[in-house]
Amino acid sequence: MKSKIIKLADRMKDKEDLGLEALFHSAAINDAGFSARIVRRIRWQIRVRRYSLPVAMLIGGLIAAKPAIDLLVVASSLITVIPEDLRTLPMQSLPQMSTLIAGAAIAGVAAMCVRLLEQ
Amino acid sequence: MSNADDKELVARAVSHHDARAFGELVRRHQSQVRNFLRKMTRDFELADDLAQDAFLHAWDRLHTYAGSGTVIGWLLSVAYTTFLQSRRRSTRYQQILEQVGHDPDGEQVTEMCDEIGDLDKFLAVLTEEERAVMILSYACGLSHREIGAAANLPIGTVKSIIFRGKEKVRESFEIKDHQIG
Repeated sequence: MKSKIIKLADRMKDKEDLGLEALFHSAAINDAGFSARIVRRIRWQIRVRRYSLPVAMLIGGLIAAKPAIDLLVVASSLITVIPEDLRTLPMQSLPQMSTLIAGAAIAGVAAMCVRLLEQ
Repeated sequence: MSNADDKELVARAVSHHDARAFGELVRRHQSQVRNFLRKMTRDFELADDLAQDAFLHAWDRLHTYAGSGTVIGWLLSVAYTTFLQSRRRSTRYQQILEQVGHDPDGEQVTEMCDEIGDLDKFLAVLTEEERAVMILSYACGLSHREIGAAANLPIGTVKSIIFRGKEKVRESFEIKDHQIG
């Protein structure tokens, strides 16, 4: 019985394929706002990605503003306790140009590294 | 926009982050993707949620589309991956399979409810991989090569899965004949 069915099925392979296609066939699904929903979600995603970093920086800046101002006030008041001879330092004791350039280069490379890590 | 072919729309969506171009792609192919997922899950609501996730994943990974196959083939591969990922996460899919009387190992469950259609009965005798391949072949009309790319299988395996699937159908029909006779 089984071999008969298999032989019959093999002989009528094309019909079997057609039968399977008919079995699997289903009507096209109406869009009914599906694609519009996807586009809305994508646009929202784009907006979130675009604005999340500036907004986070702004909020962080606002939160940090008061303590930073307080720190500046305290630091400026500390100037009065620095000894007089330290305030009138000779120019040689200030960082040299080569030191400044090396520092700037290190800062630049560090910024690039941070950007690469972010990406 | 509606005159542009699929690959042009992909190019536009990738280069300009054009959500409208991608929306046109979704409009064109949503029916096939949703039908594929509805047949895989046998739950319309779950399938539509998965389709939405699949299209969002596709948007994120659009730059990885190499342009070698058809866009619908690539979208269906993303949908299949989304389906597999969600199934690992959730037990909902398992519950649905139990409702339609499917054993995950592909063994036939003898007692089926009357309201289950022919397609469900047929799908119930197939393993998950066989179901995906048969649906991609007979419902979505993909070529063996496209199915291989979508399901990450060699073409030879795709052919043998289709052959095995057909054999299972023949066997299950034979069982049915004996029961009737």
